[in-house]
Amino acid sequence: METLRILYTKDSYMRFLGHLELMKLFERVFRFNKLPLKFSEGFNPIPRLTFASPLSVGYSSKAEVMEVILNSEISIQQVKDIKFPNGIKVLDAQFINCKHSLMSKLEFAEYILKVEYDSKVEQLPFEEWVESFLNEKEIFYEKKTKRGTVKAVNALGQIHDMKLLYNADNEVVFRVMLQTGSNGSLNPEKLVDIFGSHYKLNQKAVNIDVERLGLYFTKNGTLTNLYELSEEE
Amino acid sequence: MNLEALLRNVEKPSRYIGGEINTFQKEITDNTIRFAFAFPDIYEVGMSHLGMQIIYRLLNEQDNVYCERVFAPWVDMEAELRANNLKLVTLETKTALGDLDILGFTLQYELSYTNILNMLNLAGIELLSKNRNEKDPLIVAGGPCVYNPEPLADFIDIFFIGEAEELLLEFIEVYKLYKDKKISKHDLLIKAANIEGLYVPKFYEPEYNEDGTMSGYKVTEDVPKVIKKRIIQDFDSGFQLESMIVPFADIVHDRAMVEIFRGCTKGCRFCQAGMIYRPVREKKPETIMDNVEKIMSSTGFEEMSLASLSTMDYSQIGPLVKDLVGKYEMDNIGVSLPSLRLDSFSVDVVKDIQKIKKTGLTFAPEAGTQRLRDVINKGVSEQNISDTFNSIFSLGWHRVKLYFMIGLPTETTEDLDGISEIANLGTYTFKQLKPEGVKKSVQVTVSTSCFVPKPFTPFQWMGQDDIPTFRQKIQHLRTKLINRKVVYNYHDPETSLLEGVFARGDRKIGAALLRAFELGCKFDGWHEYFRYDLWRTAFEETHLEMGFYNTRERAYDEYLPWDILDPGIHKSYLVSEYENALNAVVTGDCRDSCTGCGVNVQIIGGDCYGNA
Ligand code: SF4
Repeated sequence: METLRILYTKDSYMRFLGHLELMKLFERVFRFNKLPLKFSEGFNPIPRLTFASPLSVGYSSKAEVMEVILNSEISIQQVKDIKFPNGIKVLDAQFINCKHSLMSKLEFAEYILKVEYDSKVEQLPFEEWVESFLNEKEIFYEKKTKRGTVKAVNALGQIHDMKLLYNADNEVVFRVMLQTGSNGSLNPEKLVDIFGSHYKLNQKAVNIDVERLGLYFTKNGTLTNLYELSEEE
Repeated sequence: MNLEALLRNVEKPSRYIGGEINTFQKEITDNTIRFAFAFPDIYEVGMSHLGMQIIYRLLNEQDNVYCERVFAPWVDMEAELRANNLKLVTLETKTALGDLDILGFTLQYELSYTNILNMLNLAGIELLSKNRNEKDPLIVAGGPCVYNPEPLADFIDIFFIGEAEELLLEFIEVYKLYKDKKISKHDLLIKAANIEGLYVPKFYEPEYNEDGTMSGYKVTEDVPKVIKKRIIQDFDSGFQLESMIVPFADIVHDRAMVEIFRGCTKGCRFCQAGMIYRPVREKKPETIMDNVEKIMSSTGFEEMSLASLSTMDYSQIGPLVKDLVGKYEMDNIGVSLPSLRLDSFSVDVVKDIQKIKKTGLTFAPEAGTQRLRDVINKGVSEQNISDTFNSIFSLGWHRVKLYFMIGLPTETTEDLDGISEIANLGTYTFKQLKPEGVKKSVQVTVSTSCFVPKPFTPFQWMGQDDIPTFRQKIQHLRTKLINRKVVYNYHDPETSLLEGVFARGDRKIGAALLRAFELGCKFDGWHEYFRYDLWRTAFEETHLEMGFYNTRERAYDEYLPWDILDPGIHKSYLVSEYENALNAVVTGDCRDSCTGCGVNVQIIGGDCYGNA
């Protein structure tokens, strides 16, 4: 039994694939590329694929991580050569020996957020706002729990970093590092929302383009790409 | 807003993105004939359709043709397109439909006709054929509903009658001359009309009697008087589907489909497919095994289905299924059979496949009594039914679905009661057997649909039941089917009555169709969008009467709108089959002995199996 870990992109039109559709696609592509898939036991044997963090429909990503269990090792080149639909590309692959699950170790995700407002925003002091925003101690927002109740969460506890990259016409571009994973996640669109209402923005965000740059965990105090996760962590 | 921005606002955007495994990205030059296969329903329905997969590959394997796909956008997408003034585009290259050469619609069911008009409208294409010119794409149509093309004759330029594989390629050859500007659109249509199997309605003007019935067609150009259907003579060596598009969204039939034969010899009298797809032509088991291998190794599907009108009637179904299961079990690839016969043989075959999954089986006795089953020539006996119950329950199944039709000719209360007797026999058999190890209790689901008489069947002359009659029958069944282990589902009669109008309509009702579309009718086959009130208004405003088309009984000597077509079956055969039906006289399977339908003489010019 071998665990193959894959680093891949999901962009252009493929960003519109839902998570279940993406899983099905990987399974079928693996099947016809004759990967020696290990199936689960039982009534309805299914191959064992795990994805680090489902990406919302419409978000693109430069570096997603997934794992699949195989019965035996195959050449890494063969994995890299697998052809997916345009927009999904295998960037790297490795066999790993790591008992940790991707999901349990994941802590942060980095995003580029392109926000388009319904009117001009270039006159607004976004640079200063971002700075003062990060200096706030707490800004609470309401989040639905799995049980359907609502709880207050401090957004600032979930923002690791936030930078303004661009501000012209109707558009603002941020680069953010947000908490993601089993200990809680801040939805990037929610952040835009919180930020906007904190500074009482009259302009409405009409379109938010989200691109995920990477998934991270902390290793000896530094953020490290989840793809590098190993047994020692 | 561009398409990508708008995809964020719709549910299931993967319906519109294209790029699936085994789709084609081809270079487009000035000589490329650009075709779009258009399915007038959503992606999940259209992608489940085997014919689409066949045409897509067949055309794309031609050098100078690029076939793309387009489906009916769901209502949310349509709203976005209209709000943003965007046109309906193809999945492959996102090209507006109006910029293509040929748009080919498939007519799978009558209730998708408003969607055709809606799609043309969303593409900014004139709906009426006569308003389109050389700049517009040619609008063509194929599929089972073309066996009565008349309701769509004002909108469609060319109908493809019969199996399209060879026919399409012949048509493309002629189209090339037009594309190269060697011939005019008029000449193209004349040349097309002279290809056997193509119907160009514009050259055939319907003529009517005073009572509104037809007297015939006036043929206005030098084109054939009758349009003969086309078939692939050698199904085993003709075009083979060796790969399929692997869909994204969770489609209706999300599995590999492998066609094992065409046609059907059972001779069920209500079944249009059984009549129009004659004669039976099988693929050899080797060919099928080879097709399966190629499809599985290029798609990665986890399940395959053996497709045909009546899969259990494939001459070597037992060994074929064994071989497939044996070969693919290791890879966890399942085999599924789309339709089961009510007999122990079917149960034997299926038990190998569904060793583990006991999900429930589906059978179609169609009618409740032996007498009525003889009327419709459904070769299922009471013995078959009770044997089937016995074997499935002793093999561990505890759920079974049974399909029936109501509104069949000569139907009485006794026949309806028969439906509940069969359901009760099911639960009774289960209790008698008390199968070991099955902890769950038995469940029999009865579904009834309202019968729609179809062209080129022995029932093409009969009057369909009206809405109150259907309602009464459904109500009767509801009071009869009170067994707690029996679930009763039924289809509303309104949709079937509308289907009945279009199934046997003439060219005049195109006006009502157009009006209904203008009033906002679309997705008529989807319960939540079906607006019978609007349809009634559309017929009133165009001074047409639905009853003339659905509930009216025709005389044998009435000229029928579809008499311009020849599917190979003699009208005299249909008449004698109708007479036999009324007398509850059965006609045997024509695989055993030819029953003289005429296909051998008309279409093959020889024997069907050496016994015809
Ligand atoms: S010609 Fe005879 S054998 Fe052939 S399809 Fe008709 S009835 Fe059957």
